[in-house]
Amino acid sequence: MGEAGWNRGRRLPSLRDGRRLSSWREASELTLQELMLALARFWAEAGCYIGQPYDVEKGAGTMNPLTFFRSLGPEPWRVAYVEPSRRPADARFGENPNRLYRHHQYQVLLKPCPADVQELYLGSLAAIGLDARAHDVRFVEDNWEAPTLGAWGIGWEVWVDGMEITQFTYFQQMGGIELDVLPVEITYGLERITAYVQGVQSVFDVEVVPGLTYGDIVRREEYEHSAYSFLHADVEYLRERFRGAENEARRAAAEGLYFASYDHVLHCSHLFNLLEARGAVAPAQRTEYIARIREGARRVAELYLKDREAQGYPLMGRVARWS
Amino acid sequence: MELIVELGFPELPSGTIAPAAQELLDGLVAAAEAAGLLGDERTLHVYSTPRRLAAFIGGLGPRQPDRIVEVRGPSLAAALGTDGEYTQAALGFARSQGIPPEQLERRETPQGAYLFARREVPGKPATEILAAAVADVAGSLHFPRTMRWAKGAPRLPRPLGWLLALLDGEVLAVSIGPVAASDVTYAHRVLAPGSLPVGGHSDYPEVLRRGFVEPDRARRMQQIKAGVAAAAAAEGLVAEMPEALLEEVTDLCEWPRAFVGRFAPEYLDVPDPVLVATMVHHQRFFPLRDSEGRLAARFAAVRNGGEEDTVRRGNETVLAARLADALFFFREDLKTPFARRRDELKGIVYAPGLGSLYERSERLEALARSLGQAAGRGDLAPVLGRAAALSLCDRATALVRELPELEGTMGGAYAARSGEPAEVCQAIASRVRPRGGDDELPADDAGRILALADRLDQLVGFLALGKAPTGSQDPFGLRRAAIGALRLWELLPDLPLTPALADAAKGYADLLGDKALAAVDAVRPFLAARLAARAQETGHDPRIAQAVLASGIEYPSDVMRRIEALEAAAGADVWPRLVQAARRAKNLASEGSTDGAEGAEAELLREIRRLEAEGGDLLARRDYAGYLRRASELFEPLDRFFAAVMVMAEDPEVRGRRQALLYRAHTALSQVAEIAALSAAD
Repeated sequence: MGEAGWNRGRRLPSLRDGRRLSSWREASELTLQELMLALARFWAEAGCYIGQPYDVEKGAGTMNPLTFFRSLGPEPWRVAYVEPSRRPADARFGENPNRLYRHHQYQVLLKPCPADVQELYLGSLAAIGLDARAHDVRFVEDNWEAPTLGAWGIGWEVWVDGMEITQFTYFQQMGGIELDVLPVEITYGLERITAYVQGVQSVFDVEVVPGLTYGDIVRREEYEHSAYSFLHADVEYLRERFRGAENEARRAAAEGLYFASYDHVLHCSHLFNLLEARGAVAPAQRTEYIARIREGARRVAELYLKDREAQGYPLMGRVARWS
Repeated sequence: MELIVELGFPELPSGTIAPAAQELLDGLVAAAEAAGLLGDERTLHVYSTPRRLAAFIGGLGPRQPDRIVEVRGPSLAAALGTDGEYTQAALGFARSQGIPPEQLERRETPQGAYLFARREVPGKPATEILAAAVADVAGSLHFPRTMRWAKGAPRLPRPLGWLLALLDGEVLAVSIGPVAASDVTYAHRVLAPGSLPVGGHSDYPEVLRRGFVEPDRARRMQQIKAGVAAAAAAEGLVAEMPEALLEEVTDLCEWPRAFVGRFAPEYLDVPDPVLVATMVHHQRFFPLRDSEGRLAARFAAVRNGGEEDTVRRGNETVLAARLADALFFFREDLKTPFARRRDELKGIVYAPGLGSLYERSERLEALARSLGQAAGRGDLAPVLGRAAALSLCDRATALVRELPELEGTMGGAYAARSGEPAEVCQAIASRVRPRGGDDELPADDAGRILALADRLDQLVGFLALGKAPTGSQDPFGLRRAAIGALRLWELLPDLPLTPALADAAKGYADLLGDKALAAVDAVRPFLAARLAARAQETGHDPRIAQAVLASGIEYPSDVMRRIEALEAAAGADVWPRLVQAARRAKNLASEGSTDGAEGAEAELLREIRRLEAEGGDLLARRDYAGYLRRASELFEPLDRFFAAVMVMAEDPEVRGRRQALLYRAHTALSQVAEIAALSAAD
């Protein structure tokens, strides 16, 4: 990154700059990019594998196979990654300061859940300039549920000075299967947190790197996806694709190809979200659509578990080596 | 001895904390009492914060008292062999009781002679009993939602973080799942990180207070009340402190400190209910008002740590964003004339099978008018019609989609901005009241009638689809709707039930056909069941209530008055005669013609007619006590009648006439309640 780049004159944050995260003063004006890097560094230090977004459209970081599959079964797992999350119903033509068709989540999965997970999480806030000694951090009950994934959990939304910035969930079920080893998921809403840290009212004004705002990058995209989702998407085409993807998911699963099948389950989920935003799903049909997607999720979850068992759970006892 | 137990958790759901802490104390007290460890000399305390449930019991004995235990063994016949020696059965029994055979006793019982073992059981030490009790009670606390958090551990609302369990300063030997009891607690997560040793109860609250935790919930709530009031007063303002908000805030912090924040005065353009809902429901802020009661561009809030300026700035930013949204939606909503929203209701489903909100608004329009007519308020027809037609339009507005709790309130506000007459706007706002059991009832007659129409339409529709609530499941809020309807009916005493339900069913004729008419028969007992429940809650005798309900609920608001009148009568000297008359009349009663009555029959008929006429006036005046007194006077004529004639005469015509007379007498006697179902002793 030379002088011509976006980061000119700016030092990237590093954990090495101060082992005591809470005393990391300069963190308070992080750009969106620095904030992502800071979270990645923090969770890498905490023993996470820093994963990548999964290249199939989806509504939440939970749907990345790194979380969906790895929550299942007895094997330990620690992962963190950014996930672009598409939510057609939340699209606002790039006009609402807080709502987006596609926002970015920073997703962390720790399994089994460490006993000091809340303290660990507070450390991550300090790493992005939100020192809990200066701010009022609250854990307010909010149980999470993703009916299309057959998933639910118990947990909180985390408030910092009244602002909801994180969803914090102890998973209880995934793919319709009860979880024996307790995974905990931490999901940060990146645009919102950065807007808060930078003290700007609109996510479009968030500085991504000095001289470049989030709006500069995504506003037209937000407008187009809003227009498409609400006004122009061809309902018959979407329905046709839903049926096709559902069928393909079933076929791939019948061959035991659960990763391949799961891609099509994700397609179904996004197509359903589009159909709903387009107003093409009657309330009675809604339940049926959800049940069809959940069925796909359950099918691949079972195949994954069977396969891991057949392999003798190769990751048992190995997570400690990553930290 | 003194027991202190604290269960430490990551933040618990706010509504569950206080009841769970009480349950912890009650459970431990019950276990100590059952073991004879606890007498009348006792000190009890319960503590709770978002991160802890704690109970203290003082005055415990050190050991369970020794007890004599008697166990019956085999019968003597089975216990003694032919040689007079104990059999294997007897010896086995002695062994199982841990005593030598020569200590077995023989005793006569009503079932014959048996062997008995009598032994002294030494009491267990309190440490043992209480350790077991801690595990039992902690594992069986009730929470609405629990999770699995460790293999083999009881389900809890959050993973258990620590367990403090001390008896006179000694750690009890107990574990819950992987968490073993210890003598440390954890105070405020940020202000005092790390563990703190606890010596016993005497220093438990103080240790926590030094660690920035106020463990006494009542004190914490008092601190919030006083802090918020003082912060408001410093600004020359008064804080609005709804009880539910105060409770919730108390359960969301351990070390409350109040502060005041501001928002831009331009947001005061947003209607008050929107500002209040945004502050109270979404941010848990206390709205502030000036001496005239006007909302100020300020709020009070409570922090649980952090630096006041930083926390204030953050909360101000968040509120500003929310208010900006609300103001934006409000202005957008105003761009469309309110009445034009009605067409948009065609695209919103009321409920699967019950049509769109547009169709519902048509039903409400017709029903509200006819209820108004039946209630003697035909003059309100234009207001009712217009208000009902517009009453659901706010469902199509952006603001109500964002803040559903403002349905109705915003409808009234938008209607006013569109120039609708004041009574219409008021009725639109009133339709949603009462929202719950203690919510205020509408103050305007049109609003009451419209609100009743709303609930009757809901009850008939959902019961026609067979969606009656089951157990604690009432997904469509039908019980709440029925209770609301009955409360509204109190204010509409002259409105009869039957035509009201028939009109409500008529609205569904096209959609549901015969099912709608059939639903009327389901609504009636559904309402009666709510009335019975309310009678019981308010301490009335359930048999009296049943007797009243059995004679119908045609004027629902009268039911309570009838119950009270009957209870008064049951305590008076007329009661035995009243009950006896009703029972004797009912016994042989059968509907038919009384034509041709003669002699004793004619005399009884005359007396019944007098009761019907004089009693009719009393009923019209709703003087039920007077009616019951008057009705008891039928005792003598009935008595003379029974003495003079034999009811079950040979001649079917005579018999029919006499039975018909009794039928008419019984009907007259049952105007207030089905008295024959009661006994003279009631």
